Amino acid sequence: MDYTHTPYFRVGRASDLQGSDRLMYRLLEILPGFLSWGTILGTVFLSFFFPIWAAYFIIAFDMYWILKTAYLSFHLRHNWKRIKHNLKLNWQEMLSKMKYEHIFHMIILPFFTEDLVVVEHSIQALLETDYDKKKMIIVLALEEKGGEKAREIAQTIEKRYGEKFGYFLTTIHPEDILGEMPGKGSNISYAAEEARRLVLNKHNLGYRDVIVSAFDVDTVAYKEYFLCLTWHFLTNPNPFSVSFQPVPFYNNNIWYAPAFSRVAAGSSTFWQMMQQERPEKLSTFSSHSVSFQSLYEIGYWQKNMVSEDSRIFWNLFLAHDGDYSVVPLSYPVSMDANLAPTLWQTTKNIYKQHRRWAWGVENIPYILLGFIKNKKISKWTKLRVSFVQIEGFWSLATNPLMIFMLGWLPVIIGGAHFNQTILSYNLPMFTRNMMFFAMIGLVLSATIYLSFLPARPKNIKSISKTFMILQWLLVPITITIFGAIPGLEAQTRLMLGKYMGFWITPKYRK
Amino acid sequence: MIQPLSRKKRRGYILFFSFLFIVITPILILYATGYRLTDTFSLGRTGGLYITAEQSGIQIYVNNKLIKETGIFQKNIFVQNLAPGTFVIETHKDGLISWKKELAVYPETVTEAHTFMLPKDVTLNEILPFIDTDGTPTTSVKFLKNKNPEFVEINSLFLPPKIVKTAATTTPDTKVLGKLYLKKILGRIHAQWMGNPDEKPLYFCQDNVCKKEIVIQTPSPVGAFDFFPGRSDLVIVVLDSGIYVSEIDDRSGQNIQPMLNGENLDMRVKDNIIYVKREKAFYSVSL
Repeated sequence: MDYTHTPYFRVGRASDLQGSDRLMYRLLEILPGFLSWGTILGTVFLSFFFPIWAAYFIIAFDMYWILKTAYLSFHLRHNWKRIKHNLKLNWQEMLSKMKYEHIFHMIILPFFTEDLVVVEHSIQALLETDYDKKKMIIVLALEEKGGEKAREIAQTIEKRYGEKFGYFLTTIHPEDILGEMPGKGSNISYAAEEARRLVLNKHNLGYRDVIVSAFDVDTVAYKEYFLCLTWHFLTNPNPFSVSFQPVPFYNNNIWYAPAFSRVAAGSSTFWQMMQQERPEKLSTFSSHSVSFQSLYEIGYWQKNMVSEDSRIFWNLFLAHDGDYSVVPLSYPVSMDANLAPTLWQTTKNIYKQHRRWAWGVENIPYILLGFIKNKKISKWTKLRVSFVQIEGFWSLATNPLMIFMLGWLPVIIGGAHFNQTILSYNLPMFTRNMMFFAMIGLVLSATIYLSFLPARPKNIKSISKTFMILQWLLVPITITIFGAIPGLEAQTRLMLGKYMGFWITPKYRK
Repeated sequence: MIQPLSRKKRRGYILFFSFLFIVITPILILYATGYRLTDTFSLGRTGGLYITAEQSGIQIYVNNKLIKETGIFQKNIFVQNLAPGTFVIETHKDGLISWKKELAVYPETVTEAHTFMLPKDVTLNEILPFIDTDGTPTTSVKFLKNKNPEFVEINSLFLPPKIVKTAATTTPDTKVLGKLYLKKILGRIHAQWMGNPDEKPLYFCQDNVCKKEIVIQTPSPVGAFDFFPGRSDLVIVVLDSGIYVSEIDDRSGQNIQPMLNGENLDMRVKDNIIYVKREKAFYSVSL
């Protein structure tokens, strides 16, 4: 693993490098924003100076988008079938045919100032999973900055649940460590190392026998998650060259979240479901699992950047010279949808959360520099991965804007001559009709969404279920406001060197 | 256990959707541009008509075929798939004067037509000269000293113009609306566009050839004139036999419709209201 010893392996931003490498990294940071802004401004330019060509482009783009939506809906539908199937499978029985008693699960729950009820809900769910609790290592990863309240909650949890698991460790990540960025990455890396020292080494647990699940503090594991994970781990020909990705549902508080929060959360789930059927495009996201051995070899998660959940995959990918992938579990874990005491605060939180996710674009310069420096990765892999990653972020930031806002641009700014053409009359109609066809696909979304909803709480009116269907009409708005715009902001910040810090999504329960 | 979508299947999807994209996109672009299959299965270029009306309940005919009756929310129609040629457009509604125009349709181009239909009977509201003690307008000379301010104001509109040197562009012989100028020369109205040629009103041009000016063809010399309220393509003119409204658009003869018949009439437009002077009385016109 030569690449892990290079100065590029743990780079967080351009200023971490020197000389021409620094310049190269800076240019690569500019690239995603340049492409997205180039597309948007190019469409505006084309609409103004060459409106006919702009109209051709927009029609072709509309067609591309609708076919892409149809193509992805096949993936979504298949993954829906797989998840339903996997939820029905008896994983215990499947595991009973193999030796798995030596496998331990380390669950890291990073924790800042969330309420006791949030932490307890996750711990309680772990307790209810079908896996031998003696083989589970719970690591409650506190931030020193969380203060006395956080410590008290941790003590309460440890007091109530400490004895119920094989191992229970509370770690306190010191604040203001030089070279670290406050956030989940630095916290869980610290926690993993503490767990290695204080649990694995102390009790002689083999690193290769421990699977680490890096959860969020609100992550609720489904009943057979760890059995399913263990089965995939044991049946994989090379379990140390893969990470394991569940499907994030945002069901914990879904009946209490407002419509656009539900749609934004549901859309994120659907995206992950589609990606599960295209594993070569999948990188780890949010809650994920990986062998402790793999983590230990590369020094855990990066501590100097925001998107540690996906970066850990790229760290491992480069460390393994491209021979590393993600195993889609097609098995869910549940988390909180965005919810705050007021609607406005919820809206702001959704935007900030999606901006943080979109900040995953900071991986682009990391990956591309890695591809330049690591000569052991095949050219085809480099080309394929680069295209997939760049296209992904470009699509996020530009496609909704192109479809919902720029489709009419040539008509508005194309001038009187263009406005006399049949093309100018047909363009808005085409765009509108294409959107209509695409919206038909939302029926599938609504059906899938309803099938995974938890039981309606008694204090929620039955009409709410109708709104759970109608809410999908908000998609054009949510993918623009909570998709394209934060995506574009994140890319613009990276382009201008206005780096983002880690923003913790507040967890609020009614 | 259900396996993930196989690479083979996904490749099949990609090929299928790529094929659709490659086949459908050029067809869509050609269709959007106005290309259609002809009876002989060759590709022919078509054009379209865009007709705007200002009221609901107007029946729009193209070549004697009823195309649409306008509604409250949809007062415009777009007709495409028209082979290049000349089309007769007519609009009818009870109580309104019918409108008819013959327009040429060119390939890949939309010919626009803005209909106008005056009521067959307009209502005149007299502006009385005095105000009684209750503030109600009256003709009674008992209130000779209480002049109606509206009457005074309207009366002033009809006074002969004072000859003063002014930088104002609108004079009794010139009216300006944006960059569109109306000038009366020897009893005829000449319409000229003084702005950016690219923004010239559509009726100045046909098949990309634009005129410098359009002359309003009236049966007798024009007295007072102005833009018709709310429309930049219509002119209201006082002729010997009454007050008329004419299109500027002369792509196939200008429609001219009578608003008020009678001799010795005069007319002014102020704040989008038409005022008429008949004998010594003033009226506002309700259309």
